[in-house]
Amino acid sequence: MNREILAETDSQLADPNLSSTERTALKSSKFAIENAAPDNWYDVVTNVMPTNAIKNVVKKVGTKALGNAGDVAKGAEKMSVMPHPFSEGGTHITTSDKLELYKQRGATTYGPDTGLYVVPKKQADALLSKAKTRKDIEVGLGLKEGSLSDGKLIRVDIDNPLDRKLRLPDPKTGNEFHRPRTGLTTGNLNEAVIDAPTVGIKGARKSIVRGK
Amino acid sequence: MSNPRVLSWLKEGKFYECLSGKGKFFLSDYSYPSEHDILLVVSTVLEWAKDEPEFVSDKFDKALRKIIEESVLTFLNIISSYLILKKSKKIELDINIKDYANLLQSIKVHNDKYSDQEKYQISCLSAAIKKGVPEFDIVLPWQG
Repeated sequence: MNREILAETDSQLADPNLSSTERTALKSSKFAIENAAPDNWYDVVTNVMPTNAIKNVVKKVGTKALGNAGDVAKGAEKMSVMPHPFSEGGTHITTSDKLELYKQRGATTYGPDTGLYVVPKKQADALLSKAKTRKDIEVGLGLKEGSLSDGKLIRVDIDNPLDRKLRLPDPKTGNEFHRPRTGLTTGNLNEAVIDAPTVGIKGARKSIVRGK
Repeated sequence: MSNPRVLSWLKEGKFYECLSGKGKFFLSDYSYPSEHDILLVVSTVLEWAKDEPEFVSDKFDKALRKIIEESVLTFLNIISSYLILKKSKKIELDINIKDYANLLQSIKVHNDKYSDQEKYQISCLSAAIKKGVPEFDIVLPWQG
């Protein structure tokens, strides 16, 4: 897996049209993958917590001992201004039928105690605008065929998922399309779990997705 | 829309297994991952019923009568899903809801069989079903 990602990073770095920011980010990712401890490299790759992970690497190895790589590490530290993918909000996509069933079962939150699956709001916006059918949305999110087929399509937007204990999904709660420890869906969207927000709470809004 | 895997199980006659979601027939719900995605199963049943209404209704009914004796919560969950989907998909099965109400009345629901959380869920579901279907009426032991 590491090797595949490194090869992909190298091929992206070969692109002459990259901006200096993109080039620094890619070099930083490559450096982090090559040097990060095995238990946190995937966080770096998936951008779930890139800045902290990179800083940890720098702290652990030390910039002086790194030679040229040290410059990349310094670049990585500067990347602390890079926005977190979930900093502009998270989105859970579901249907009115599902919400109705769980409301009837007494649910007072969006999602269970174990947490609600979300993708970054921007990525959800892009998916919903690009998808021609609900099946496209199911594929993008890594859901079983037909999961979103009935009732109105609903999006639940959460303003600040970072305040809701954002974490990687537990593989035990994933379906057959779950990609353990990647933090990515089958459609390559960032995927995380947050503490389920209470229905009607400020900062969590439900709305109908029109035209799908 | 049908789920192809669920449809193939149903065509093998696994109505009871698919509806109760036991073992390999458990399908994780995206919004509530620890729950069986019963809406997906009932939706697939209804889609198939467009082509073979009598056969599918009969199989669904038989499976429900088996499930009702095992778990009132699972039964109510399925009925509730059916009523929601009947409305959104505008497809109806040839089943008699009143029969289920009578059957439920005759089944002794033991207080100690369910946790407080399950009792709460059963109460909510039965209230929701009663609201939508007047003839569906049961009195649960813990409701006096």
